Amino acid sequence: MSSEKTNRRRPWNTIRFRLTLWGAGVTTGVCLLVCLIVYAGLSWSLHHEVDGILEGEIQELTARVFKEFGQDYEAAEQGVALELGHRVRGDLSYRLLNDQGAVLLTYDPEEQLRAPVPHRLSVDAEEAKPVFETIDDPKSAYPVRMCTRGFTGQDGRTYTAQAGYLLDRVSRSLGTFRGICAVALAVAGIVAFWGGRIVAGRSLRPVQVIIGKAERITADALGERIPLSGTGDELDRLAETLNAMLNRIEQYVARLKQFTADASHELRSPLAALRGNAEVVLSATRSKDELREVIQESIEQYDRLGRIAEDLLLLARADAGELSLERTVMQLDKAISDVIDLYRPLAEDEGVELKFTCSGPVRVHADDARMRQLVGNLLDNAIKYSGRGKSVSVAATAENGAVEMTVADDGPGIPPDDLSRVFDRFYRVDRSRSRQRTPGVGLGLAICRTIVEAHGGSIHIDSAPGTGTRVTARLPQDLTTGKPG
Amino acid sequence: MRVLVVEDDPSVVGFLEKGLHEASYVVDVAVDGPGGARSACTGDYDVIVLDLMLPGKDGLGVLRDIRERGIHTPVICLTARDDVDDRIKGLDSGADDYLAKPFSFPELLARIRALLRRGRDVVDNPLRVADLAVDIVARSVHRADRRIDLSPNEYALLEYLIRHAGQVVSRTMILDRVWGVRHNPQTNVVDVHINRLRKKVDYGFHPPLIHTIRGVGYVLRENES
Repeated sequence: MSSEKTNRRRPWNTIRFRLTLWGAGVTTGVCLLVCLIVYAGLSWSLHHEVDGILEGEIQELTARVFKEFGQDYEAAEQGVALELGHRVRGDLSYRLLNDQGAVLLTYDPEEQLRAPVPHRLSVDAEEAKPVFETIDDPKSAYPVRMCTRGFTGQDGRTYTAQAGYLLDRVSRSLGTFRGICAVALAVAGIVAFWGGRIVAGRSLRPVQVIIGKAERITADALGERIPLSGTGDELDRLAETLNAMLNRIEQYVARLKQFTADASHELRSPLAALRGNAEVVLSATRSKDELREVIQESIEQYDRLGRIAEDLLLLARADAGELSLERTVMQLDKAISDVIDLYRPLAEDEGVELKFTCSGPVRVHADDARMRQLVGNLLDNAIKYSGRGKSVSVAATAENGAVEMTVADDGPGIPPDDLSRVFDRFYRVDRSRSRQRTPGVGLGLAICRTIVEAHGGSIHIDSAPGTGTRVTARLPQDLTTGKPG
Repeated sequence: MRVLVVEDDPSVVGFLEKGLHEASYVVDVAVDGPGGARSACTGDYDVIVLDLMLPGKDGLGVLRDIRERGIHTPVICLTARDDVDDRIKGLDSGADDYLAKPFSFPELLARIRALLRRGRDVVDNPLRVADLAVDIVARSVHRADRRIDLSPNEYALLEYLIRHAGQVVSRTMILDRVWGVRHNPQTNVVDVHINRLRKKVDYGFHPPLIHTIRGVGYVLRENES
């Protein structure tokens, strides 16, 4: 299944591709931004330079017209033509208008002054700032920069002078710059893409290793672990996390396998006995007493099966969150002493002393029958596993809204290896011994935990070989929510 | 005494019919919900044994139907769903007792007897079996005119047995009625109690009165079989 998925994966769905794309995109974007800023600056400075030239020319020419030619505009026109015509670049055009808007003189060999006669300058000519504008002409390849300015003539009247300058060189410079920028951006983009690809590939290589390893780990081969690079980076932490998860899964799978094996064993043995007994008894003629014997044994096996089924159902219901509790405010001390009464003769037969200490009434909001079952299971275990001459003490206290019940014995205790597993289903500390001595199947403590947890409490076990075992169950007292019962 | 069994599983019907018949009941069987409701309403029964999972109409529906029609025959519900909610629902719908599958047949018989006896449970005091006398008012026990001292637990157990003298009672019933324990303990603690009671009540007397019916339970009666 996993290889199918890999095959269906497209290259543009990979993190490597996305990282590369992002890297290239960001790099190109930054380059583009730099180009735009430089371009704007260049454009501004070029135009500024042109404007400076225009302003200088318009002032110089107008001053000469007024000073050298007086009111003789024809002579002035020739003078201006002579002056401007001798320049290397004859692309500066000039015209002078009077305050009525009539053109007094024009020099415009390139027909650049296509712009209509500008608005009359109504402001005081001396203070009038030059007005610049760029005029696009569909017939020409380049726009024209126009400068318009008012002057006060020697006769005191207001004149308007206009000068135009073809922006061919500025436009060409800017065009060249744009071309360079485009090439630079393209190169930057490609370099960033390939560079990013290589970097992303290198940094993601450990991920490929993890994927390859993880694909080889299946339910049957849970022993493999992802190797650590030892750098302690994020990917190392990921590998550690995955390894920890694999450890837990391995444990769960092992427990599940153990549970399945135990459950089938516990269910099959009585079934085999039932069937075998019936078949043997049918294979020959039997006396009435023999038949009776077999039937009685069958009922005992049925009972055993029935008890296991009942216990497993209880656990399964709790697993499914469907264990319903008949909770009332009950007296836990009363339930405990009833169950102790029930178990006392058994304890005496086994040579175990039973003690119960309780400071006063211990009330708790709980299911009475389940509490009795909890106490019974704990007592049963404690009596069976402590041994002759030992004692089992039960104590119950209520404190700070919680009820604590302990069942402690001074028996042989439980080896540390077994301790973490005693709450597992069908788990028995000493299988060979308990098989002959106790009819239980190892569900007792699992049920205890289920009952306590269904009540919102917790249970734990302390034990060490030689010092005895203590099981502590803590339950919320929860008296306010329950009605007295 | 007539019993109506409403149950669709042929193997369960088989042993119920046979067992009840041998216990001297007249047994009628209905195998689905509507048939059960019809029989319950038309026939005159002393007890109805009603399975809760039935084809056609489920047991709770049948129960509500017959109660709505004013039929107050005692009903024992049988179910594979031994859940507190189900039990409460069953009792709320008008059931008189409740038994989870798998159940022990003597227990069913005992419960049927208890339902039939209800309301007219007047007993002579003291209760007697052979030369054993239990005074349930004074809570004292005598056998062959000799006083026997019992612990409160032993007395409660003996009183339960003698109240059901001649009837086989299962360990489950004893646990429930004497100690209020509804689960099956991992170890057979009841046997230990019975043995202690025997030592006091039966040892040194003749004949023995407390008998073990292997695989089933115990019975208090004069003769062996």
